[in-house]
Amino acid sequence: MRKIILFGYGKNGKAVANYLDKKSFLLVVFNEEEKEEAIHDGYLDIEVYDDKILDEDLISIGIKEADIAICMLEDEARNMFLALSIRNLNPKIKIIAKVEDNEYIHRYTLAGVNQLINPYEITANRIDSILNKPVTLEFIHNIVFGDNQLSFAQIEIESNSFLDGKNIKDVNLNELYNIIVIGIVDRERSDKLQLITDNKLDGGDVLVVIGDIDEIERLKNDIKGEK
Amino acid sequence: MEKFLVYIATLLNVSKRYNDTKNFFRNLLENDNYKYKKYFDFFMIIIVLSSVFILLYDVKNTLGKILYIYDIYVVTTIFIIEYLIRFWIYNDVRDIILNEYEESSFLNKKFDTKKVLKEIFAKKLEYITSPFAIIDLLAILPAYRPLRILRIFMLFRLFKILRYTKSVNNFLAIIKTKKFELITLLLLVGFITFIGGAVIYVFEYKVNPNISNFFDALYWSLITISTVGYGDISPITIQGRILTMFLILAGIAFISFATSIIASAFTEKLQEVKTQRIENEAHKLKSFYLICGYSKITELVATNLQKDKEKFIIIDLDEEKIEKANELGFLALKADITKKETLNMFNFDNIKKIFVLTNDDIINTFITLSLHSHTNKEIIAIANDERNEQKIEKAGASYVINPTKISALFASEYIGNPVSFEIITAIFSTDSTIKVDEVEVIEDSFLDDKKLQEIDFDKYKLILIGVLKKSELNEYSIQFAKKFFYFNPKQHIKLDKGDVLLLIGDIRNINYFKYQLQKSSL
Repeated sequence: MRKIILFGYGKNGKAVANYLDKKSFLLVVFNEEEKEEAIHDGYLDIEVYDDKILDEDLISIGIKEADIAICMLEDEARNMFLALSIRNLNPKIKIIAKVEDNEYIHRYTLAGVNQLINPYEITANRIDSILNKPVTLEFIHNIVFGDNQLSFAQIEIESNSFLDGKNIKDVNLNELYNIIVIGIVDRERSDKLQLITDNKLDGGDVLVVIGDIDEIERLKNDIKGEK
Repeated sequence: MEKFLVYIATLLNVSKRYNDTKNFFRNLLENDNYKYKKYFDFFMIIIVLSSVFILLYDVKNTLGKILYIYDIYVVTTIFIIEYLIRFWIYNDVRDIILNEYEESSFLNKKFDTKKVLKEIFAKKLEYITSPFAIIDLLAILPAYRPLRILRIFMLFRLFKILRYTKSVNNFLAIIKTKKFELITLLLLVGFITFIGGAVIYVFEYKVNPNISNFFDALYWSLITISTVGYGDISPITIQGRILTMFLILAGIAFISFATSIIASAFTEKLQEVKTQRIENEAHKLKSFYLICGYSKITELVATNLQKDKEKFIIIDLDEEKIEKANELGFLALKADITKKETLNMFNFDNIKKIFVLTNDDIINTFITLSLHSHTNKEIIAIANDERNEQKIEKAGASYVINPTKISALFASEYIGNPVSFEIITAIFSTDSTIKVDEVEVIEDSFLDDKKLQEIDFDKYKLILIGVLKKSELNEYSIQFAKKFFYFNPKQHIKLDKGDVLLLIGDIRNINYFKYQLQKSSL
């Protein structure tokens, strides 16, 4: 199981905690107030530190073995310092950090943060989508947050499976499985998503699809089964 | 007589043509927001300038026949017509008559023709004696050539320009606010000038060959106190020179005093003038977004809108924030949107959507409520605290966004479902060329009334994700916004106008597709 550590239980930390499984992460808070609130909200795995968290403390909570660190301290400078300390101790960990001022983005990137979350920018983009792409927004909203069966998924094409060597146009996945192939990640070339409409598939390619969760599973099984 | 008056008045009152004509001229001459007024003003300024130019030319040269006719007949005729029209539209005579008629029949007394005529006369006289009307009249006079002295009134035509330029009027209005200070200053200057003149007269009359009467003394005093100092008359006695020194010092004080009065009047009025200007600009906008509250989100939203070349107005109560917005080149106005006069300032028919983006949820709720009771335009609001989301929605917002919540969702998506996250960020990020976009089926285009199998999306290198239709089909659909979304739609589904296709593809291919669609509908 992946190890997730969430730092901070302020406004933003609280909101993130809300969307995570309560038992799936370790919560680190920085004052009694936050601790009380976290206990009140039913979190059990809590560590409390004073404003200054030392490298030893980070090691003792297992930062070196953790997979994901989420930095949600309200204070920008401390948040950045925390991110930097974590990166320093664990080069492989994925760090997500909140940033409220665009000025700091570059500094966070230098500090080694993988994904920055800027609430204002996300909100502004959301408004932009409401204005310009309402259908897209609803669709994504449905996929991501809705209880519909739709989901994005990545499917790796194994060599010698029934897709290997075929042209995507000929296999007609959208009729056979009710999924839509929107792209391909060619791991040898780059990690970036490429669109496909008329490509030949090879073993090792990763398909990016949207579709019914069950159908996606069926396709995955079929690929494995024919091996 | 009275019957005749009332008859004429009623007739005019019901005549659509008469009222339309009168309104047209009223708008043309007096309504600053009327779109043709500026053309009329421009035309009149040209006429005035040309006639003044002719006057100056005439001093040394003789006028040609055409110029003469133009100056005497054309210009004058235009001025006379304008004067008469202004005289006509100044008030409605028929209202006076009808009021009196109603009053007399209501109170059952005799219709007082004399009183009515007196009132009409008084009203029109009020117009004739108004400063601008006098200027207009004086501007007509120079056409009477035999009296050469009248020609100097030609310069009154220049004053006419004031009528047609709003900025000059603003200037005069600002000066007017400092009337008291300026009059005090003027009196003081007059007083000191008189004393200076009197003193020099006493000391240097006949001693100084240049001062031969009291007027010379006064003239000298004013020239000195204004720090102009021609030097044609200068004091020669020691007493006179000492006086001069005092007068010069007083003069400097007066001039700086006058400057500061006018300057302060301007700074005081600057905000008002600015507001006025933005209001005017707001009136001119045909379709725009209204943004209430200037916050960090506002800044980002405004930048996005500007990028899309959309028009918008930002309203906030905080002057500093307004200034900051103005510095960034946004149209921002200091006003309280919950006040009736602010609401009336905008033509809500021209507003596309409203954003409520302050940092305070109580204010957001209040603004949303005020706007919702005033208009049924869509409102998009921010809830800074999740607990207030529902309240703001109840207040009338169509969309309520909680920045903390959606960024938390964003973060949890990154942790829980990295694939979706990557795709979604790729689709929504500005630097990616792959986009999900929506295309509406336009009437008579190559999509209208076609089955999906007839459309070759491969040709455009686009992938069809789904179709949003207004009507429900006999297929599995996801419902949103009271419409039906068909994911991975079957080939036999037929498209109708108004349906929306959700496509994924390279932005260039999408744009090409949209372009072809537009073209085919023509």
